[in-house]
Amino acid sequence: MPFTISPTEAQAIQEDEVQLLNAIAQLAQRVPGVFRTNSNGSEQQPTDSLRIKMGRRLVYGQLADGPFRHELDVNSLKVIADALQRPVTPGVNPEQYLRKVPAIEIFHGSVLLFREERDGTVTTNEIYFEVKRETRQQTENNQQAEQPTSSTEPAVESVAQSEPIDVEPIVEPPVELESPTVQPEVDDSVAIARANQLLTTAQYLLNPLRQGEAIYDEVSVQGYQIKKRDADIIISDGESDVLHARNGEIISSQITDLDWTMLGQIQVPERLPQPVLNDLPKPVINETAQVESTDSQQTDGSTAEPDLAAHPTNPIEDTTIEETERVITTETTEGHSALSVLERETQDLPVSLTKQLLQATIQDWKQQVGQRLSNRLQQGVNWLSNQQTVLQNQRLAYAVHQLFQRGYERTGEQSYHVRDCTIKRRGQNLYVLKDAVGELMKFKASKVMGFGRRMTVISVSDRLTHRQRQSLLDNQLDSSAMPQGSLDMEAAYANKTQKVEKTVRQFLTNFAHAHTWNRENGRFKLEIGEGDTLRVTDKQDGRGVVFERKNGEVSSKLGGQDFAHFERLFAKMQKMTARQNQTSSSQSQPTDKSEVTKNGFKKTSAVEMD
Amino acid sequence: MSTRTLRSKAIDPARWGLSVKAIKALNNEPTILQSLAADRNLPPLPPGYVPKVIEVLFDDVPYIRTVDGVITRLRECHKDYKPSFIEYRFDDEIALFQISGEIVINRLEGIAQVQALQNLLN
Repeated sequence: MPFTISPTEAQAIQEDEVQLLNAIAQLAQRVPGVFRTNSNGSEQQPTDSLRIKMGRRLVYGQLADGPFRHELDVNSLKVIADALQRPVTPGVNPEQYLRKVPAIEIFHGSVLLFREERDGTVTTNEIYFEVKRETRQQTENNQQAEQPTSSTEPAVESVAQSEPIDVEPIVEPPVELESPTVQPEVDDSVAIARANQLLTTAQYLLNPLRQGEAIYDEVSVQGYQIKKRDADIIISDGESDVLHARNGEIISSQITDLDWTMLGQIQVPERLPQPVLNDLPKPVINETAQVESTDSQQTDGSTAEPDLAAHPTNPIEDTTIEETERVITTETTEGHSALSVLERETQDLPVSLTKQLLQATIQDWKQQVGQRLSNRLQQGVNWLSNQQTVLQNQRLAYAVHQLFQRGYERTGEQSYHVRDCTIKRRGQNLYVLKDAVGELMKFKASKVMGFGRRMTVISVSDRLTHRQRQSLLDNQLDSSAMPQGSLDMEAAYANKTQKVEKTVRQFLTNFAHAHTWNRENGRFKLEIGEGDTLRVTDKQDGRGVVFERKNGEVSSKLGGQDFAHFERLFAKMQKMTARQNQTSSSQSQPTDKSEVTKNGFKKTSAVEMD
Repeated sequence: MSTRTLRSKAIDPARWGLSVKAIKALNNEPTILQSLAADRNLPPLPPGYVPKVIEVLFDDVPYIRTVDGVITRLRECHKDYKPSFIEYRFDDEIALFQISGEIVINRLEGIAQVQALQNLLN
């Protein structure tokens, strides 16, 4: 049962340290295990037993080595007062956070009164209090009274003041996973696929632009080291190697489920970008331009970015998309938010690419927060819950975009079918998801610098069902799920893949005379296995297996460049065969036959794969 | 004996090329200083890395959190608040640590370089 206090009391608690500490001490008296103090006649004050930690810092209370720390300031008072008004997050398991550093912790002696985790989850709140809601008339009166000092503050700030801007619950994969006791056996093909995927991830992480030289030979992420030594790439967990590859070939792999969970979720594009052959220009650090851009954007805050959860009855025309990207909130929209503080502090950093990156990221974040105000009549403080929708839409847009790219790699069309949906691309980067009835979602794949969003969701229909969302997300995760193009194009594609298969079989059987062709620094690895099994693996573009036939099932993500590659191989083989036939017919002496054969073999083995 | 005198030279922030003010701020927080000393040895983050979760901490308390680029948490603070130190964490791993205008740890340089190049190429 929360303790209820008046807005005036809440204000006092937020601004006056003594009031806050007394309120906590008073509320703590209700908590079992807390020693009840009597301030009458006792030298010790009830507040003396309190200890408040913010992160790893003790801001109030006795330090382990003796002195009493007293570092509460007007900001921390506000943060603590806001935090105490949040109940324990429903369904939370505090044990999940046992070894983690909390955001805020309050103790009375050894009794834990409050704990908020770094991800915003409240795991303990024995001193939860609520502020009585003001009537509209009271709010207006208060605002009028405050008018002279806060005239520049937007109306929504006063509403949102005591509302922690937080989306809960956020469903995220746990960072630490317990080792499962029983796991289904992972078959070889899964292990191979995982190894290939992690190798691709490592290659991309080290050198995302595929420049001649990677920026670093050694990097670290999620507790894993990724090292490049000449032709070798090694992933290790600090103690032992997880993966070792040379020239794009896996030499050894000991990937555990935990490794896969930690590294497998890192974002990598569907296909690595083309290598950058020319020398890249040196990136320019343009401090002045950044500042000017920021300034102009701040004064140009009149255009509202599309409501990410908007109803499609008000679709945004393509011509206005560029305009919507220029939205930036004015300074007054977030005078009290952490973003303003962060922007100010970032401005003080020395001029560098890092500073540019951070500034670009902050600008994107400011745009997001700007929506709260541009749509305040509809959303108001519901901005918080809408962020959950924004997140879901963002993830769906990623999935739809990736599925489109997967189809485009194969047949190069502008429209693909996935289950009962169609994905269409208009222009360079506008994507529309439809079903049989009509439009479900529209988004733009934007080129945002920084760590901001890459997808700008323009509209989402209410008709988009959970089942449709899940189906698209499932298809994205299943790399064998191929979006279908038009029937004609699919038929043409099937013909081309059949030709590739025939070429590969012919090459391995008649020219390489081997089950496997895997030339060092070559692009493709070709394999023929038991039965009808045939596999083509792209070793350079990080795509892994691009064609496979196994037990009658065919999966292919061969694209235009692949077809051209195998057509060249086919032409070479034809030429070689013709030359062989010519050589054979011109030989008349039986005694030379062995030599001819030998020469012929030498010549046929000289058919080179790029 | 105080914590400060027990500290080895390896974690003496005076050897990190920081201002007196920054050194003082770090010396005031031995626990944070100790973990920073270890974090300074970490290799850079991979240039191609895009984190799923970004947290920005002021004075060791998270104020901003984004998931897949979308803000999911934004704490209000006092308008005159000036944090002693700011930390960016990517997927619960340190990425950058700054004290006012001074950078103590920066594992983002490769990422920043690639982003700037990508911007040029686009």
